[in-house]
Amino acid sequence: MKNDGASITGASVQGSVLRDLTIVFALGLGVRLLWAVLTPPWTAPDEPPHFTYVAHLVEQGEIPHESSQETHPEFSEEMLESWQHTFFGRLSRAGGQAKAELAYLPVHHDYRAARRHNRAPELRRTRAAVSATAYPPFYYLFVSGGYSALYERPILSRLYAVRALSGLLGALSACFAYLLAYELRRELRFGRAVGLSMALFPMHVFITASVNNDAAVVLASTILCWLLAKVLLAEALSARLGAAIGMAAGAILMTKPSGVPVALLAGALLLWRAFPIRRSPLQVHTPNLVSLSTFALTFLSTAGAWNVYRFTAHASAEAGADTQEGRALTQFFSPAGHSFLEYLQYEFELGVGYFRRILIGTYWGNFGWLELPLPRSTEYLILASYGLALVGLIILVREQASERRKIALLACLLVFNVLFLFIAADYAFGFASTGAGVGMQGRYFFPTLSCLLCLLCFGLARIFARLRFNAAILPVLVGFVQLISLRLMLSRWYGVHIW
Amino acid sequence: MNGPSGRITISALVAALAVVALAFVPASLPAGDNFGTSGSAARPIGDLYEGRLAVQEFISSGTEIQALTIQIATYGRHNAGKLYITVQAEVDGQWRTLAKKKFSKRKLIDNEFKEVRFRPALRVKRGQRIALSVRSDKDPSQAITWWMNPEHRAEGMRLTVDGVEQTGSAVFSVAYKRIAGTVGEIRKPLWKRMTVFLRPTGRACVAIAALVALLCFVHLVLWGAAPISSRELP
Repeated sequence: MKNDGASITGASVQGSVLRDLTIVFALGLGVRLLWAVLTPPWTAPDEPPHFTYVAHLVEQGEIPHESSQETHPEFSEEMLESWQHTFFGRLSRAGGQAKAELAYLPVHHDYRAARRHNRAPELRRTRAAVSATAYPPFYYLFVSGGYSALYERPILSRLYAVRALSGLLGALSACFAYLLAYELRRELRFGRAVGLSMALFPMHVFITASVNNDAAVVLASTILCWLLAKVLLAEALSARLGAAIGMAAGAILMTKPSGVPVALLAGALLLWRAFPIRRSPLQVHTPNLVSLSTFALTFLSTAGAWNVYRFTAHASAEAGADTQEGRALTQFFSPAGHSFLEYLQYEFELGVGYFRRILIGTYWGNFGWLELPLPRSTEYLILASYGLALVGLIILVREQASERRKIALLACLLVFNVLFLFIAADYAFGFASTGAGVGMQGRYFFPTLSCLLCLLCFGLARIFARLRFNAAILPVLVGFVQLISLRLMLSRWYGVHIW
Repeated sequence: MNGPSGRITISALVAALAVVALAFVPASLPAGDNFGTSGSAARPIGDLYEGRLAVQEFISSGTEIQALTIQIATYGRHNAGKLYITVQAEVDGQWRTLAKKKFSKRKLIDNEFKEVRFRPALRVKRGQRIALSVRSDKDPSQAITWWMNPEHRAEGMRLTVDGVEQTGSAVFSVAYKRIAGTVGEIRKPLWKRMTVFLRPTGRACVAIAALVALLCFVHLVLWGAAPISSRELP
């Protein structure tokens, strides 16, 4: 590659970016397709309820909702039989047992019955979508295309088709992570490094290669993070940018609540740009105001439509005001049981190990139903890289004033995401009424995974600034952890040992 | 060679080399279903001393038993005498002894999982009934015991003490010899094992996806990490 900055034109850079995006997408999709088939059926967190949602959409032609008149079972008979054929209950600890019964999938077993298992439509019906029922339908509508395309095929074929479409969303996330990094640093190598890292990030690969609406919320959030970087760096905002942000924020609310912090910060940032504190209110910049207005319009039309539908079409004595959001707000502002101070004390008593498990362990890799963690030595390596990256970021911020706003944006998104979910989900949904948390997991914080990867990449690159390939340190680390994860997974589910 | 097609060619060559290198990586896969009973709800089987015999029968799911592990207890003592472990296989209604091992009771650790390895591995047939017998010598003051799980029941398993059938199973595990070699040597059973739930079309798709991912990864690593001397134009 020629190191001749003067000969590089905008068109060739654009061409390079498009080529890079294609490669990142192909890599991300390829890795996810591999995991989609290597992960035994149903052994991803909450996969049965999410798949039930998809099946309910296609089989019964409606968005699942609780209805007192429904007589169908929670899980379809077809799925329950598939669990038997695929040893789901015996291979995994999903049922809450202390130890899985099987060390790995049986060797001498005829899996043809599992591969061919297919039941009539009446045995595919369900009452609703179990624990996934309350989720908005955006993700499920998208992936239901895979289910519909293989409608006549066995259940495992339909499952893999839905997993493949989910993986497609995950691969797209990697592309927007690339764009975020490139937007901030304007160097292709950083875009490639972050895109590659997100394409290979083990836990993200695992979750997005299964049937889980995290795939959609992470994509929407990553798009929004990229757009926020544009907002931060643009001299003036445009209506188009405002509309794009509104749609992305609305899309988040149409997928999963874990992306809400990013949507909230998006609104705050737009407000700040439209009404900067240092300016007089009479000097509001009109284009920024237009952008803010288009944001509000597109946001309300995107997310509003679903919420209107939800509260009218599915309104009932039970669903009326007793929504998840309503309960959370009620608990937070007037806790029936436990105060926020008690919650803080509870978290403090859980200790550093608890936060390490959530923010490192289940964030980077804890596979199956959180029963297959990465080796402790790998966690220490990750922690060490966090420490080095933090030092690098501090040096970067001190040296280059131009990078401060960018680092601040990424850090704000990351920290706000973590704090919001602990307070709104863990406390409001859980501790306030029960005295115990909801069971936080690292994947809940994936909406700002791209921000973390950018911070790590920039920090590590600064620490190792003397190295020519300093931007490659993060993807090498992530790639290494990916290989360990693959090895771990093959060993646990199949008894295959490589190396 | 520095043009896009040249780079892709080089990346493809490097990816092919990586695949060839992978073929030399050591690998192994199971040839039988390793099995073990859990120790939860466990209690001692009773004192094992001269004249008493505990036998755990199970059905073999592999063809070469490499190791058997039993959980024994010494009552916190250093006991004198020997612990005898015998492995038999049922052939045409008769029991045929495959292996006999003895261990000094003095060297046993209380509640340890005592592993008995067989070199060479014991050749059995899949579906064959196997009997694992444990006995001990000396008087009751030098007895040891074997942990059992009264709640564990599995098809084909039978635990007896002095010929009397017990409810549950002894705490033990079976490890079968694995198929070992390099990835290249055992590629066919390895691939088949990793794609048990896939039909031929699915297997082909996965293979292509994996190769494409490898090619993309190699391409990005080879050509994507080098910096350009000045910032690119926006």
